Amino acid sequence: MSNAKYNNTSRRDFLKIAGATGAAASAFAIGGCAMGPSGTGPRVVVVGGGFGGATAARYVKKFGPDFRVTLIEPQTSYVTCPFSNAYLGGIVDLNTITHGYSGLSKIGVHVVHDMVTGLDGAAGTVTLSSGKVVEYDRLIVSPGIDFKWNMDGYDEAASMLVPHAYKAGSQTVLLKKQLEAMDDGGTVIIAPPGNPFRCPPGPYERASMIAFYLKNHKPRSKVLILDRKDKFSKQGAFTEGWKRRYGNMIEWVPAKDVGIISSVDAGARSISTEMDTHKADVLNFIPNQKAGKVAHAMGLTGGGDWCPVDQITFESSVVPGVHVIGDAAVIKGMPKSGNAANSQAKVCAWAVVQLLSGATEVEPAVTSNTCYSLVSDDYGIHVSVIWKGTAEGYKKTSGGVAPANMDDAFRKAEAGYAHGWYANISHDIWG
Amino acid sequence: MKKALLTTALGVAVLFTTPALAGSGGATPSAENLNGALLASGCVVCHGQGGDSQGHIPSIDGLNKFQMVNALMEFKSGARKGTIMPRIAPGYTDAQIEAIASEIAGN
Repeated sequence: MSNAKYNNTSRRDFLKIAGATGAAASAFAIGGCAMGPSGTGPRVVVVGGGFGGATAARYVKKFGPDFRVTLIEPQTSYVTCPFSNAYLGGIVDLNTITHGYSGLSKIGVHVVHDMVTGLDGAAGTVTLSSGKVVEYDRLIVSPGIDFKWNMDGYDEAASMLVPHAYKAGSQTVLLKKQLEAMDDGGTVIIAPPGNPFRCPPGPYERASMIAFYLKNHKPRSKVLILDRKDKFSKQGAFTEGWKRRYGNMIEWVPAKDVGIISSVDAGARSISTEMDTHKADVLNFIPNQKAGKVAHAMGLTGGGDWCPVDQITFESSVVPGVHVIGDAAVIKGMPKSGNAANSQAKVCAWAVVQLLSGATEVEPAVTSNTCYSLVSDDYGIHVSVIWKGTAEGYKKTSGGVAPANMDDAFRKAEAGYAHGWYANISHDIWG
Repeated sequence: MKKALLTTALGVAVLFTTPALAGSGGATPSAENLNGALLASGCVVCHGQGGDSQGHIPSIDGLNKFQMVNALMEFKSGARKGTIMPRIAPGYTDAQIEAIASEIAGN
């Protein structure tokens, strides 16, 4: 097992990121943060305040109450991707899916709103954009995703005209405004990313929620999904639900019939393939993905797109003492989902507390993922999996997708449970 | 430097044993993980902290250990119907179900 590398004195992993100079940084005081983390125990620093990071901070404190936990997150509030589609559908407001960090401060986590610019794995420090240097005994990084810009002619500037809305916040608001401005009878095109990507059912729940909005407000309109895959998550359950609630309003075209997307014209809101050009009234192009920017800046991807990790402790295969969780990490058998990140964070928090309390080995965990998607306001579908951890990845012990041909009462119950899941998991993470 | 830091950290660690760790049975790998705190941490995402659910999903904080084991074993065997629990319960061994119930309901 590749954990507990306390005696590793190698300097191979010594990393200095351009722009972060130790000498300059050490001259800075802890600006504006007189209070540190509560406790007198080992220092765990968590980078990223989303589903993975915020959960990790909370659960290190839960499993090791005397541990000193610092969470570093640039934003003062976090808008979740889960339920951002329900916002597009008009089912929840933005406030419902926005969370602050006071709940973590209350339990003694030191929350620092700053950006990590550098990692020194040998010294056990991270450097922040303010110049501050933070020491850790173990570091947990949950960087989320970044996009592979400039493929298909889609870049950050294009996303201001053609939103991806796959990091929730201003992009989600932009997409909703475009839907509201569209005339009845228009066509909304969604172009889901190729594998692997965050939240496999996400683009298809989005199609559902956009159709829900259109059915209520612009019923002559259409949703066209031009996919880069030939199958998708919960496909049978979505397809059944679409038929039952929206008739033929949603059309899904598999990659084999779409062809290879050659370009996106943001000004014209069109997508060109090797076969055709598709013109949209609202275009939602979701680019292909890789680990979040900070993971690359910290040297945790080992030159690849994602972060390789030990499958039991999620300790980085590249930099010892650093653990990577969530969408950015390669955790075999698990999807890149908010609930999976929450589960990984708990497993990781447990491992980190044990390792910093003298353990040399960590027991593989049994863990889970539950994901609800809304097809309509009264129609929910689940997928749930229980896994047993092994050194090679996560082996399913049970689970599955919501069964086919269930009655409306069953689907309505699951729509209610979707809201319940959101309320409870948000509370579990941000308080 | 790293070595020195960790020595300090471990030195501190010896001074406290968290309640959660006290029940972990050490770090020896075994065939099945019976860590109740970690196993039950998966339940709260739907059923709420301590089983106190906000919203539509049933709360489970009113169940005693016997009732909870019974419900989970019935979901596991298929005797009890549900939307999602019949998918989830079979993923756990009987001993893990016992550990989960102990964690949430107490002994």
